[in-house]
Amino acid sequence: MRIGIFICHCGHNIKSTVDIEGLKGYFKGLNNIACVEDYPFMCSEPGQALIKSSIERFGLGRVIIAACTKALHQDMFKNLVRDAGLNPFLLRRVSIREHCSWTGEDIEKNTSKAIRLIRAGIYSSAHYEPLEEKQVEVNKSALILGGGISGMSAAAFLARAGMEVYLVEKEKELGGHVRHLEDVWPVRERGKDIIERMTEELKTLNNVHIFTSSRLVSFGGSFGNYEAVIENSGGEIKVIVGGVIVAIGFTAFDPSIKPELQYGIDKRVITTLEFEEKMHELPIKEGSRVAILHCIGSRDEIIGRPYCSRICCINAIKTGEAIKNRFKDSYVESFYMDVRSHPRGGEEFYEDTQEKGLLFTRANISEIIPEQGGLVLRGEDTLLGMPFEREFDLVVLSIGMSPPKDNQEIAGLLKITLDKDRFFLEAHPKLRPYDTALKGIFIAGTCSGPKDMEESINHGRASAVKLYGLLNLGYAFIEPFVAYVDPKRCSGCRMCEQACVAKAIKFDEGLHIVRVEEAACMGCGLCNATCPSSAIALKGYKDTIIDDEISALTEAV
Amino acid sequence: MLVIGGGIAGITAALELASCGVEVTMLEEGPSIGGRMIQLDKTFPTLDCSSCTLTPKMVEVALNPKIELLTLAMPIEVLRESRGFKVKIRKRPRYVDMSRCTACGLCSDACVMKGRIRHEFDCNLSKRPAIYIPFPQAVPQKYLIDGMGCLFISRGKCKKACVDVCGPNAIDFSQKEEILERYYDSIIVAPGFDLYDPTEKKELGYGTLEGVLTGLEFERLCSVTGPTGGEIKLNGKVPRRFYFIQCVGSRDRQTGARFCSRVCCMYTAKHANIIKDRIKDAQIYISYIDVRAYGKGYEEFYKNTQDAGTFYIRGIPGEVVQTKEGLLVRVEDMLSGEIREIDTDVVILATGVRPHKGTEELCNIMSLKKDEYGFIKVNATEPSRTNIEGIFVCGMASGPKDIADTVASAGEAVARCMEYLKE
Repeated sequence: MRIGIFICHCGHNIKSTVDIEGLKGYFKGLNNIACVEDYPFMCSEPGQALIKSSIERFGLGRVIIAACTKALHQDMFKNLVRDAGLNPFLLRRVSIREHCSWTGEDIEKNTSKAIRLIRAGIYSSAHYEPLEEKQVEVNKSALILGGGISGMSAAAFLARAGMEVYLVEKEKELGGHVRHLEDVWPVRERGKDIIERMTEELKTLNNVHIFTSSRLVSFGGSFGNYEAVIENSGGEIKVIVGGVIVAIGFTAFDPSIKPELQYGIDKRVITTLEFEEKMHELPIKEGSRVAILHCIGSRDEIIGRPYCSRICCINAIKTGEAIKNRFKDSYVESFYMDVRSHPRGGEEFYEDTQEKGLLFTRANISEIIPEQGGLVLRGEDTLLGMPFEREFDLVVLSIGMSPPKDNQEIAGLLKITLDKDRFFLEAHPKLRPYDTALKGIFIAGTCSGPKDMEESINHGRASAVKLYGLLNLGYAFIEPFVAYVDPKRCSGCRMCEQACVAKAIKFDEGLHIVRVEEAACMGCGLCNATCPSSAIALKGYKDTIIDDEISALTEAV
Repeated sequence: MLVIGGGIAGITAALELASCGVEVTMLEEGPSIGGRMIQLDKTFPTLDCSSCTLTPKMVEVALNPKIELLTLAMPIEVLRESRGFKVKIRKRPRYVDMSRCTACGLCSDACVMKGRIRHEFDCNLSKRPAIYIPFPQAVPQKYLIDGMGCLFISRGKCKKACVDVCGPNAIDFSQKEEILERYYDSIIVAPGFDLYDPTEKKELGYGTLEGVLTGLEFERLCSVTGPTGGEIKLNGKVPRRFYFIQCVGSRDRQTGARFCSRVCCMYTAKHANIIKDRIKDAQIYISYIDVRAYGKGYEEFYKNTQDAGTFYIRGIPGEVVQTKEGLLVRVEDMLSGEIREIDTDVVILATGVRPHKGTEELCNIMSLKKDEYGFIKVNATEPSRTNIEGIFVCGMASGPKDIADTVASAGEAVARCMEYLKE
């Protein structure tokens, strides 16, 4: 067997803490090693060209790429190997960046670990077999969870592109939070008008199926053929969809968990959302004193909300502006940590509102003390370094975004992951901001973290494009890592059948053994672990592969 | 479909369009795609290596059979024809035959101008020959001759050592500018951005004091493909004291930019992290007005930067002056109310975003409306739609955005485009 090893420097990342020359020296000349190459970025065009030409030149039978984790660039490297004429499943990735260079700065230890990991790659890949990806039919249909602005945007695009769309909303009507906004910044329109326009448009598309007051109760299947059960008062509806966009939005932060703010105790303390809904009913008049508090439920580690909610500064400014516009002689003071008016036009809005007389004080507010004549704010002016007490008639809390209430449930059903703040976790924070680790399942809008309306629309429509790109051909390729049965070893005990979550294992009454339905198999390996006679295994993950990998890792360097 | 601009916005748009089965031509005015992002060493808040995430996408563009990539190319005329557009494209000569060049690099070594021409990709911090590749991971992997720098092209006199060493005979001085005429159904414009030139802010000393850099220049100093191979060195010495100034050319009426540039707070925090990682005993100060750490994981990144020992001072310095030992920054610390004088070796200006210089011309030939700063005008409910039916915009061209927001905006532009094609 001719094995080629390709070591990436990853710029500084690997090179600065792993001895690349040492690695090369160790592997060069070992049995079966046809070539050992290194390059600053293996993923770049010259790096790829180096791999390709080496495969052709040395007639390599195995390719070991020691670089970043397999979670990155795997498809690209597989295609590269395939283009060079080698079965892509004879490629082995070894993570010497995440697993070596990023774990510590001791070059000797890192290098020694890198040697073990690469060696494990060599030992195990020796047992690899060429595999073929399966072509499966995919449904040109999508399930969209959440009928807020992001989900509606996604639905409209997909439907116009010709896909069947099932839009599921747990509330009575579509529109999410935007529907309840009196004045949507920066378009200065009523939220209800925006939503009704979008709803009308969706209703003209007959391939959009809207389910309000409905929820997802079960979910299974695999990419291209996910099975979802939607429940509402009419009963249960089962749909088969090619992919899913999760756009379940956020929950407004409930400030009553901060008792020092008197929210829910004193009626003169309200949230920005409540202000928006009943602005005209509030007892504000000329001469009224109103305080606006920023960062309520944001940038607050003590209550588990360390993140910035991204929209509340603008909401606070908008609140102040609304009051000043109606009552020129009101006294409105905003208490902030940093003013984050970053959206397009936001900084100008902040400045212009200041010119209208809205005051901004950089302060930490420690408590609100209800008194007969007003609410006394106690805090520290962080610019003057002085404590202060000031009395107001009304306090508006600019509340942040908390994770959606159903996050846990949806994450469990779809088997997707939550981040540390319990929003949904994206596949890559920069380049795959609305993808999940699962193919065909996307997260759009605020359910993956705070966003404003424009960003939520972008997310919804961008994830819809991506899903369309995956499904539009009507077929897709799936990985060949499915279970297979050794009929000589199978005793027909059917334990694997019970373990299989994909219901891919069928019992053959005549032969008294089990068989695997490859199209249904998800490749989870549960059957493999359950089988008492080692008769069922996953292609690409045979026991010998794992055994040899372990022995290579534990052998002395 | 035509995509104008080969940065992360254009790349994302082209790849998404291709995945939807659409044929795409991508125009890039420079010699390689990659845009601003490929100039960066790392990206916030994960400190992912920028090249590592972007180069595979660049390669995908080059290999995708549905994408035709034209570099050194820009549209010069766009005329409406039925629902689509007739586009005239000017393609500048590369003077290197793309089908022959193997990117071996011998020509660069042989060029008599080697080390004599300022290298734009490195923000002019390094020198390059007249025949060169802008950076090692460039796509396409082909050399080019800069007509202005090349003695033979500009003056007709050179020994043409490059031609002698080029094995595959790829150098072709006879190449001329070409004008292509094409028809496209729809256009996505993603010309990206430039950074504010802080020379006019004399009090900060950029261009006059040694050791005053812009953020992008510092980025190149940190980058492994940069002039120092990634070692943070100025004039051969490793500086220990760093002073960052934020909002230079943002939130500043004097410079004609009231807007927030959305990325400088975080790229400065990133720079502080990179320094702490490479220079253990570094002393770092950051001057700010408000720290706008609004994105996912940004606030935590900002906190960690502070916890790791970077000092944040609220207040923008009044001046930077030269001293015997280096530079001195005078700043009013608004939190303590004191005037402070802080000695430093390097001052790094977090310069704000401006529309790319080509944006105005693009807007002219396409009749696109601009906002007061020259960004292409859009509205928040249809964030990629321009005033011209069938022309869409994404990325920084419509206003400052970070990379994640740029990627999402590119997806949105593709969605609009696909809808337009189906209408």
